[in-house]
Amino acid sequence: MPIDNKTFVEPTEDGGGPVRHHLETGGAPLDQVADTSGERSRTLWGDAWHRLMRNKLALVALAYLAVITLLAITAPLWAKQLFGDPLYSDTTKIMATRFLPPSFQHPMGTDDLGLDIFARVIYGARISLMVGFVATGISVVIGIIFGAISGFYGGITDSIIMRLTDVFLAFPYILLAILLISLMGMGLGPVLVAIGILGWTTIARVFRSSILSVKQNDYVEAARAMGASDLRIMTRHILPNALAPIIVYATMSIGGVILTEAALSFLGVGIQPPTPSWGRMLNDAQSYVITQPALFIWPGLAIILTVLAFVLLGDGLRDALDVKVSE
Amino acid sequence: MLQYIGRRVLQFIPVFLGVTLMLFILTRVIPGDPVAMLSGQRAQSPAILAAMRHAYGLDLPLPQQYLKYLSDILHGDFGRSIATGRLVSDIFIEKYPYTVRLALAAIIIEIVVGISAGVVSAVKQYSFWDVSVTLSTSLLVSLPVFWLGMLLQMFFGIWLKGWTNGQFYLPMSGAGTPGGPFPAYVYLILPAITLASVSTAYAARIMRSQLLEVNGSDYIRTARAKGLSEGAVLWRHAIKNALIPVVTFIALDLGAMMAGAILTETVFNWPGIGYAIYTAINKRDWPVVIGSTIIVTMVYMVINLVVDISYAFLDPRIRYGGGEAR
Repeated sequence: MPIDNKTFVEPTEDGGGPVRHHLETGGAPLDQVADTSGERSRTLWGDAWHRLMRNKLALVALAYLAVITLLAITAPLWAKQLFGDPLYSDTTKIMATRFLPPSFQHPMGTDDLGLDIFARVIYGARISLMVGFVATGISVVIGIIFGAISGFYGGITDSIIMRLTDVFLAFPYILLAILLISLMGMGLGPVLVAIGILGWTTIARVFRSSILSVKQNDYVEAARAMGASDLRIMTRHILPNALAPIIVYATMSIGGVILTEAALSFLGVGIQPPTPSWGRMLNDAQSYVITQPALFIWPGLAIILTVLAFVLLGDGLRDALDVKVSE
Repeated sequence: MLQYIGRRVLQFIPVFLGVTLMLFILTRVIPGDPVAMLSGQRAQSPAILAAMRHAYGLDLPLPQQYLKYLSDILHGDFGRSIATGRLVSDIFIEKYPYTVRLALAAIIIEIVVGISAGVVSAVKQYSFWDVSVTLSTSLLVSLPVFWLGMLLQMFFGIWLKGWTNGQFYLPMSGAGTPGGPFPAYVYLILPAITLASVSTAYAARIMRSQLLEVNGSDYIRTARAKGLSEGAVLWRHAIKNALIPVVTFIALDLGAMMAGAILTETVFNWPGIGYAIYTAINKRDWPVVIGSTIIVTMVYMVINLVVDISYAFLDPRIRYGGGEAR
């Protein structure tokens, strides 16, 4: 994924605005601020929310993600009852239940083990969404810490951290992920850790450049003159104003993380059976490309729609938060 | 220029040391006892274990072990397969030509299709073609390459064969054998399209946005103002300047493809280094996985260095612009 190395985010030039806003909101997360939008308050995040709501593509993406997340979270409550166990099949009846065509009972048909494909796709969403959010979360936390130290202190610390990102970026991404996972033993935990660890470099660079531009604002100088500590300046003044590019970048990269998880599971080093994951389902489907295309069509569509939704939502957030992301 | 090359090579050294140190830590320190790994399931007597440890230099202090590891790498010793006993470097030499062949075929597709789609898209902005290019590139970057590979297999390998009563179709896997039903290059078509897909989409997007940006620049306005035809402005001024970032992207992408297309090679059973790594993973043949990763990482790093340096030949702004060539 060479594009990752070159993606970078720059905050916009009108850095003067956000300070007033962040004092009002205390840099609260987007969704909390959104509740006050009915009162027509003019906060940065409120404005952004209004702009996002006007973006139809982003809204569709958001709605899709809300639905699939809800289905994924509640799946254990209804999937088994409606469509049968998505994990284990009754091996005695397998010849009668495998490769069934789509029907009311099995909306997408059944697979080679007689398991309901729709239920497995929904269970796969649990894995994909969790890996997407958790692994990106790990990357964001590590990336913000290193990026903040790098951008705030500069000098030799900055050089060391930037050379460290060079080292990470010097590896072919998927191979390093495979290597890390092989060493940790496969499965969900290693996948989360490996993808999380490997993703920090770009976040660190994005956050570093964003801090460098925020740092020059007068209000930071003012806070320093008033005797604020480094930590206070960082958390109260710089962080909230440097956050927008990170939100945009993280949203976009969730899609990439889901693709990576699918690739790793497809190669057999990711999620292990019987847990259904979209990549693993595609791997299993490989033996049936000729006779049973349904086995690989549905999980593939699920991946595309979900990844596309995160990309479109990221695009929407980028426009709404007025962040410049270069390709 | 020489000074620039020297500086880039000097910058390469710490990154190289960092990469090898990281691989060393990952492969020697974390997974426990390599000797136990080598002896497999069999229990060995302590004396034999100690002798093996000595033979592999594992009784040395860690810094010395790292130096030995470095020298092994520089001497081309990347370990041996547990399954077959073959040297990893021999496996690499056997498989790598296939990886290179696939990468070159994919890069040709990327250059031809990516750049022309980007140019058409930018020149006819907001037209039907522009919208189709934008939509299809968004779709392409969101889909898993291995899924696209399976789709292509289904269309060109199975359905097409059915529609034409077996007259016309494309082979779905392998690289062909002498005397087989197809000449060798036919086997390249589907894997190359699959491997090129995502990068072609990115190349088209970059080309489009660069061309649009260049179009608004002063020298293009000057060229128009002095009465040059639209065609001359486009070909002699706009495209030439807009190409630079696209060429860099494609060159770096070639580096990534040379590092092995593990997903594409796996879908099509293409006998390159990526497929070798995939089969080694499934056989739990870790020395092959680790050794191939090291070799491929070295190749990747060297190609990136070469790209960086040749980029400076292409664009003089880089070599006078100081060290940060990113």
